[in-house]
Amino acid sequence: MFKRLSVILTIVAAMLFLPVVSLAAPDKLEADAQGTVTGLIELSNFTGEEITTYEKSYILSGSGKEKVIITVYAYDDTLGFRKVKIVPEDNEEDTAAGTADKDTAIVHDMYTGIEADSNTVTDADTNTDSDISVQADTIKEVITDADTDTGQIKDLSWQIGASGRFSQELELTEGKNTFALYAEKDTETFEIIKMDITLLQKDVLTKIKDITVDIKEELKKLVPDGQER
Amino acid sequence: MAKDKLKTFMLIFLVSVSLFFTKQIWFSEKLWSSDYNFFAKWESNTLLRSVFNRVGGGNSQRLKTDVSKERILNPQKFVVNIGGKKAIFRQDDRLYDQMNGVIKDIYTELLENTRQLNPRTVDEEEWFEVLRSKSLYAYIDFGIVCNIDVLGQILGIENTQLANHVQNFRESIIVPGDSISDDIVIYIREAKNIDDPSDDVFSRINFIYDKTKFGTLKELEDNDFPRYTFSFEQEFHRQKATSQVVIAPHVLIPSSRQYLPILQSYNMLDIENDRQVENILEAFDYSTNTLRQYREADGTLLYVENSSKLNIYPDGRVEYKAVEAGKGLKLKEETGVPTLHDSLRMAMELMEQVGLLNHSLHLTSHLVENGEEPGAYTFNFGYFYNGYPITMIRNNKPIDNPVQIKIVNGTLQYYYQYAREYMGINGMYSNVSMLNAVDGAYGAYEQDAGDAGKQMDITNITLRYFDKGNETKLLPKWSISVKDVKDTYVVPAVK
Repeated sequence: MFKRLSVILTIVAAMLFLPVVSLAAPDKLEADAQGTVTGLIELSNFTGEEITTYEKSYILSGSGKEKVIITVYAYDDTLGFRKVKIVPEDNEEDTAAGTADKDTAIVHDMYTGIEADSNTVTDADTNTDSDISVQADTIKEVITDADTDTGQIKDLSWQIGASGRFSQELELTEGKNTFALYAEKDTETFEIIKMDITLLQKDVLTKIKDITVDIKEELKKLVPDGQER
Repeated sequence: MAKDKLKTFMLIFLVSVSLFFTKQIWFSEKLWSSDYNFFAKWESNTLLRSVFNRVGGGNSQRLKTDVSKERILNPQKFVVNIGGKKAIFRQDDRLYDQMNGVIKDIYTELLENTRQLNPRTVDEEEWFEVLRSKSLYAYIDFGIVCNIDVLGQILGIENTQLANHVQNFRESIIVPGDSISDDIVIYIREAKNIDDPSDDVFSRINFIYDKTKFGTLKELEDNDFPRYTFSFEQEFHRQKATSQVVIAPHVLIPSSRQYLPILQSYNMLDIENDRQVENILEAFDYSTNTLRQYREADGTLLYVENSSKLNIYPDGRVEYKAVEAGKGLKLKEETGVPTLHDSLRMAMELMEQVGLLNHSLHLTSHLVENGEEPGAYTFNFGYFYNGYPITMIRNNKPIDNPVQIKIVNGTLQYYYQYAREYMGINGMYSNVSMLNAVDGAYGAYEQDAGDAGKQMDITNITLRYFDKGNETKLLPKWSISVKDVKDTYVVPAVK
């Protein structure tokens, strides 16, 4: 009896906890890791080629199936692919008094009833009302989950919502940055997309501008004053 | 002897008191009936007032606002491309005035230009490409469609050559151009159909301009402003197999959390403030004494004259209605049909005279000619705080136009103003991202449609405040408009 009960409890515990464990992306990925499927997510502006930029951050955006969890890994020569970590910022209300006043509970309001509003002018000659204002829309207030984690280091990972769209900012270091996106539906179904983003030095950009300016100065010398180009 | 002194003193005292009370009775309108007032009639005489004021005897200081009317017509925002990402500058942001000065200068030169302009029509792809990639430009968003002639008149320019090529412009981009030529490039998005941007036409104009004037904007490159990208840059405007949501291409998506103000709203109008009420009456040319006035149980003041009615409500509303077409307050003195610009100027001067103008007001109606009823113009104004729109909600209904003025041939037909003032009391970072909000809205949209997986076309997403009149704090919310859906989905941006 006791043995049977413990077996049942073990099975129930496994059913409860296994799904949670199974959706956790691995701590590291092999350099040549491959996914089991493709098409879970679609990245914007990505053809598979290396991306170059002068900006210190890159907007990673795209679309994917709802509830797919995406985890970002960064490649390091010695450590391989490791999860990117972030520290969410504090979100206390900034008050002059210095103490945060917590918001009250969100009220789910719904405004209904589109009627002609009171801004009407009566034309006495023709005795008609001319509604000279734009008719008001109704408003529906929607409650969503907020990101309320503050101060704790966590993985750069997110779940795709109902809209299927996502957008995240990746911080870059100078030179080549290699990322792997681990998009997971379940333990059996995951996709891995690798991308190379190279952050160019701004000096290069300045050099190009200098050359342009110099060329302009030289061209000016070729044109005598007073003459139209 | 002492008795005589006492009598003299008493006499002087009594005479002084009687003079004082006589003055109160003769000149204080509160003690008179509204039917007849000999002295009140003379006191309200304009000529006598001006004389009286010059000798310093009058209490005729009009309540003035220190708000510039021109602010109402400024662009709602500038979007500057800094190395591929966008920064938004709104009216109260640092550098806005500086940018506005430069851009106003560019447009003044363009509209004054007498040399041949050769606008070239371009396609929408080029417009988007310029938005995406050109270094350091300004995308100017007035929030309304504006006739080019009217824009010229606002800048003090009559008969601009540009009007031969472009009639009603919706948006504009200024590109500094390359560093070799002296040309800058101006792209104009022209509205062919005011209500349907899909019919817009795009033009490009090369224009000679002194680029050293851009120098002040270079500091933008070195500053760490919050960044945005347009929806089209992230391909959110395209349908995808893995998403049911499409977001209009011009929607700006923040790359990071935004620091947003928390507001408080106030009623600007104190109905017990006699001077403020008098100010309003004078603005509409109502005599404070020779008129029929009534006071309702809730404190509302009702005034009636032969040609119009004026109501002043304790909740801050002022409403003026001409009783017949053609009657009402004459705002112009010259003969001839006033133009759109003339009528706009009259409307704004009237707002200033009413004394309830504040920096939160911004024009929200299009500045285009009324083809159906020439000479008749309706101007709508809305409230904004630092470029973020504010929607007033009263009795559970949104008020689209808290200020509305209708002028026909220079005569005021209708004036409505809900006098509110908005102030920032503190700030907070948003913790509900725009895409979080879109997720929430899509869930509600699916439920409403009764069709799981139905595509949702989002036409606009803005941060907006909702003033219900009874809250101590107004928090920012994402306001999501969907094509072919009357509902606006509202999602709190801070939680």
